[in-house]
Amino acid sequence: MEPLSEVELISRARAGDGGAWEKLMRDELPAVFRLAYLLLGDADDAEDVAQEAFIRAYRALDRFDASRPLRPWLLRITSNLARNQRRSIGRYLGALQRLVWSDPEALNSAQGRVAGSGPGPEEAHDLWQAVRRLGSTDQEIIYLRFFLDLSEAEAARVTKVAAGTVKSRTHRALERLRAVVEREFPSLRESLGS
Amino acid sequence: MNDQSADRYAERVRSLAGAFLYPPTPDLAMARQLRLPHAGARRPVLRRRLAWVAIVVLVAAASLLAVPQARAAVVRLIRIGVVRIFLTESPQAPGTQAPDFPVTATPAAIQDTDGRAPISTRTPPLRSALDELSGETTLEQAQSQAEFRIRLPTYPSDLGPPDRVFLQDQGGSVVILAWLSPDDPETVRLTLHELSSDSWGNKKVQLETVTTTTVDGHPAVWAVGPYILIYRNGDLVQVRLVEGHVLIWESASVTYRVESDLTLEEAIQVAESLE
Repeated sequence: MEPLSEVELISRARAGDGGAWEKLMRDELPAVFRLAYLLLGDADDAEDVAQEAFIRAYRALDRFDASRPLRPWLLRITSNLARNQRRSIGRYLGALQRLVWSDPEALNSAQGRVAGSGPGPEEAHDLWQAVRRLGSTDQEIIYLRFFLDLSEAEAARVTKVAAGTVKSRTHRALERLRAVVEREFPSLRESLGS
Repeated sequence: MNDQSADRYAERVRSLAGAFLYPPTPDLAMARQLRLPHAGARRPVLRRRLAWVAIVVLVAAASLLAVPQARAAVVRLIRIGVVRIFLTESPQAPGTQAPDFPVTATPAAIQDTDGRAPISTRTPPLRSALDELSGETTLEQAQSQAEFRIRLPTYPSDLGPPDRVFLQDQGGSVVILAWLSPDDPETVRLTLHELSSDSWGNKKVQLETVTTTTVDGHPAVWAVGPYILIYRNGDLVQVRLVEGHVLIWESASVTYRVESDLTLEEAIQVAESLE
């Protein structure tokens, strides 16, 4: 039997077919979770945001234009939720008390680095750290275009700007990334050909 | 950067980013459980309520410290207003002991699941938490700006107006009212959070004891402290020991949260005295 198209799955999910929605969730979860992780830097927070993104998407499914691909829409919801999450955490952290400690090991373990893995993942991690030095708009466009490998058109749908704007934002973000790498990540200079 | 150089640089960034190792994509068990209760719901009010999500993980009969590493299995979901409460069974991390955590314990006794001691173990008085809260204002100003009518408890009779008032915008209004102890103004006698249906938050809380009850006939949750509130953001981990007991309920699209050292019966009296 031919697998159902995304449009058909969306149509069935709207009609209350839980299986159809689960199939869509399974297909889209990796991209949603990864974007949330890149933006938040914490796997647990990313999981929470991913779950919330799917809940919101499901509840708004009636309003979704099924002639368009689902992923950019889901990623836009994810990005907005992650941004709210960061703002909320930022405010709330000030109110927390009792016990604070820096835990750099947690970051390493959270990102799932594997002992003995090759230089690729190590350098990719450094690249992520370099991107995290950038502003939120630059981060988002680099994650969408290079980490999630979205096209300019897809990234434009996520960010709700014109494709030309994506192109110029990408260009500017890469220039700023290059400056950060030059300044703070000498280990990446060779890989990136700076 | 000329165009050719920029293109080469972009390709190298793409190639390196492609080698990035992500954490394993999580199972959707929680999302599935969350989705099902809402599948048929289409009422706008309900949709607005869901715009704010406080994820409260209530860990019943399990290690207080296991969850930071191991995601707990959801066994039941309770929703009170904008608060989602996951009743979970937390798998205990190998080699860790379920901590003996009496009410008087301080976080200095806590180690994480790898056995590392926290770098800082300060335990400021409860009132200091208020000093770090943003959005302090007057009751009148808060009322003029909040999206809902702020209600005040009339029980206990000697409570009076709140000593401190905070108004925060977390996607919607969050009003925090605090009453200081008359015997010891360095400690907080009671706090009342009033949360609009559009506010947003995200937290994980592990609680020792949780029971369901009612406030004015509305479903409510009663959680007995002490419990640990955990926030993680990148390489920063913050843990707050909440020593009070918490009652959460909803009325007229506003979610209320009372934290105090009152008994359940007294807390319900406070809740039902709101005017």
